[in-house]
Amino acid sequence: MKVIKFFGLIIVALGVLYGGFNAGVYSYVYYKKFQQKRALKKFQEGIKKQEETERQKLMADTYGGKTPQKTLQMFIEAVEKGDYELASRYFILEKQEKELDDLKNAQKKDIKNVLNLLKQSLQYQGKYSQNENLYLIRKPILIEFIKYPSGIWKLTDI
Amino acid sequence: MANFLEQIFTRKVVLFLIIVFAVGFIIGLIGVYWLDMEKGLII
Repeated sequence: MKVIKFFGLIIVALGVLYGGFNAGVYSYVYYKKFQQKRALKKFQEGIKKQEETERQKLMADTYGGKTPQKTLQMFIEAVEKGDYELASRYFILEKQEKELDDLKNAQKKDIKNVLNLLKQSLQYQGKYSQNENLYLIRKPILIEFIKYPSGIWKLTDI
Repeated sequence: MANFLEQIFTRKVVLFLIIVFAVGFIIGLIGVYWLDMEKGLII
């Protein structure tokens, strides 16, 4: 009887050991999955927040016209007045600083030439992209526009 | 039946089984942690 009891206990103990082992493994796996889910959620929230900040930044930028041509017209007028600070603001946010530097360092003669080309380009019909968020004038110089979420058009490149 | 179970699962036996379960739990936990960290097992 004692022998049966002993071996019985050994078998039960082995079963309990196996159960404990599985419980340990699954505890780690579930904890790890929980951690991954939490990290992913945090990451997604971070991206969402960043996107929202970016959107708000773009919405706050009101320099530009309701059409690409209007923006170009405003840009030309600002450059003609010598208000390079204002002219540079018609570019997308990332390019404003560089364009301001370029305008300040450019020679009057070159600016005049470019202005003439820009005025000519107002006569040409550009092309919208499929989703109508981009606009491109090819002649006589390449001018690219982008539509901001606020509905205004900004210069991307001249 | 209740008497029989009481006879087998004495306090000592229950304590022993709890310790065995805990040991198994720790072995499993450390084992899978080691596999994850050292061997790069993707969970």
